Amino acid sequence: MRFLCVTCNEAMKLERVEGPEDGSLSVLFACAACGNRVAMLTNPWETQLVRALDVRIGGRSSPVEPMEFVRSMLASGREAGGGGASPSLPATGPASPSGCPFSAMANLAAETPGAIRQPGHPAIGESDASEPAPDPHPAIGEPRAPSGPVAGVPNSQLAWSPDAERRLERVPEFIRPMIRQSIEHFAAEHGYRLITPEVMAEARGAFGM
Amino acid sequence: MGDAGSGVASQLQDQTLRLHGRMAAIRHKVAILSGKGGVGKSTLTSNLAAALAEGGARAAVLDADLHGPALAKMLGVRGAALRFGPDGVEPPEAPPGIKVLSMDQLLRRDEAPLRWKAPTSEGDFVWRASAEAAALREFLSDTHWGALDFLLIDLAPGTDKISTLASLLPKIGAAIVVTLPTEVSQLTVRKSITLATELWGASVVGVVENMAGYRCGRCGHEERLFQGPDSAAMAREMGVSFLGRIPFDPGLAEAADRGAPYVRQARETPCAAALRAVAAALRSFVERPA
Ligand SMILES: Nc1ncnc2c1ncn2[C@@H]1O[C@H](COP(=O)(O)OP(=O)(O)OP(=O)(O)O)[C@@H](O)[C@H]1O
Ligand SMILES: [Mg+2]
Repeated sequence: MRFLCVTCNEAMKLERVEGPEDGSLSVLFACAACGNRVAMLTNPWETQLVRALDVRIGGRSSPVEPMEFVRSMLASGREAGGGGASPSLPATGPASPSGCPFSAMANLAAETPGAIRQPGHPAIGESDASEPAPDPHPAIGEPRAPSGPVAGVPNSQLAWSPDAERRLERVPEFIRPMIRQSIEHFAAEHGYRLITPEVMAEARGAFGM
Repeated sequence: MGDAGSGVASQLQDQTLRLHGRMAAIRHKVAILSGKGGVGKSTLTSNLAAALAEGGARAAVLDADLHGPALAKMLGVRGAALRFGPDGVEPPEAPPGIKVLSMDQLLRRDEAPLRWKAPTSEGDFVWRASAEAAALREFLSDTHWGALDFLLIDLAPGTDKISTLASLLPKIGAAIVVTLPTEVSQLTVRKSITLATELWGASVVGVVENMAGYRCGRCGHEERLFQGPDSAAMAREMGVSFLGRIPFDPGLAEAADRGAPYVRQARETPCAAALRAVAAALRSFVERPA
C-alpha cells in the first residue's frame, strides 16, 4: 500500500506510528514536497492483518530472528526456560526483537486480553479500575440522554466528562481533533449532551474502530 | 521506497530470499497430502522418513499441520526441546537421524490448541490464513535443516493447504497424494490431484493407496478392507503416477502411538515391506531423468 500526494504526485513518507489504542494504530504520512499530511487509522482487525503478513510498517531496524513471527504470535506457546519440555528459545515478548515500533505495539495490543485493554491504558469507553469509580448518580446524558435524540445539536451544547477528556488525551495528539469532532458529531446525532466514556465506546463501535 | 518508508516490498523479497537460501541445500522437497483427513498422511510421512534414512538418505520431516500436529508424537520427540542456534532453530532428531519440526514442540500443553495472539478473536478468519502461511514459511526458512536429500512435508487435510505450500515452494520434487480405496476418499483426492497438477505439474504427482487390504493375524488370509475403486486406475485416469499400496495393519497404528516408526519396529511384516517399497518408489520417482 502506498499513499500519493495528489497535488505533487509524490509518494508520501511515513512520519510516525502511534498506538495501539485498543488495537488501533495511527500512522502518519507526509508529502516530502509540499508537507501535506494524512493520518491512517487502522481498526484492530486491520492491525492484525498487517501483523499476520509479518511485515513491519516503518521498516525493519534490526535483523530478523529465527521464527520471530511464530514466537511472538503464539498465544499458547511454551514458556522459554520453563519446565523440562520447554524449548530453549528466547521468548519474543510484546517488544519484538526487531525494535520495530509497529510490531512491538501491535504485539502489545494483542497481549491485552478481551480486546483490548492495557494496564493503565483502558479502552476508550471502558471503565478503568485506576480511575475514580463512576458517580452512581450520573449527570445528564448518562448513558442515554433522557431528552431523546436532538439532531444537529451545536457542539457548544455538548460537554465532555472529565473521564472522557482523560480518555481522549490517550489518543495520539495528531488525530485527537478529528476524533473529538467525530465523537461530538456522533453524540449530537444520538441525542447525548454529555460525552462520557460510554458514549465514546458506542461511537467507537459505530465507527468500526 | 515506494511504500512510504516501510520497505514492505523489500521485506517480502527478503523473506523469499531467506526461504530460498535455506531450501537450496535440500535436494528433494516432498509434500505428503490428500485433501482428505485421517487417511494416513502422517503415518506415511514418518515411516517414509525412517525408511529413507535407513537407506542412507539424509531425511527430515516438517509437520505442516499446525492445528493437528502428529509427527513429533509419531517419531517419539514430543518432549524434545527446540534449540536456538546461530544457524536458526535446531530441531530434535529422531532415530536414525531424522530432523523433526512440528508445532507440537512449541505448544505448551497436550490440550493446548494453536491460538494466535490477537486483540480479539472476532473476525480472525480475515487474517488467520496469512498468519499460518507466515508460520509455515518460518518453519521452512528458519529451521537449521542443513544439507538434506529429502524434506518430507506433511500437510493438514483440506485442499487449500496445497495452494499455501505451493505459494511458498513453487517447485517441489514430489507431491504424494494419499487416498483410501473408497469413493468418498477419492472424491476429495481427485480435487487435490487436479490442484497439485496445476500448481506443480503432473510429472511430480504420485498416488499412494493406504489401508489397501487386511491380513488376518491368525490365519494370514489377505482380504480387501474396502471394496471401493482401485486407486491405481484413478491415478492413470488423471495422468499421474502410482507409487504403491500400504495394507491395513493395527501394528502400524500402535507403533505410531509409541513414537516408533513401524519400518524399524516390525521390519519383517508385509506392511513394513510395503512402506519400504513406497520409499524406494519415491526415490526413483524423484531421481528419474527429466
Ligand atoms: N495402514 C494403516 N493401518 C492401520 N492404521 C493406520 C494405517 N494408516 C493409518 N493408520 C492409523 O490411522 C490414524 C490416522 O492416520 P494419520 O494420523 O496418519 O492420518 P492423517 O491423514 O495424517 O490424518 P490428518 O488428516 O488428521 O492429518 C492413525 O491412528 C494411524 O495410526
Ligand atoms: Mg496428519
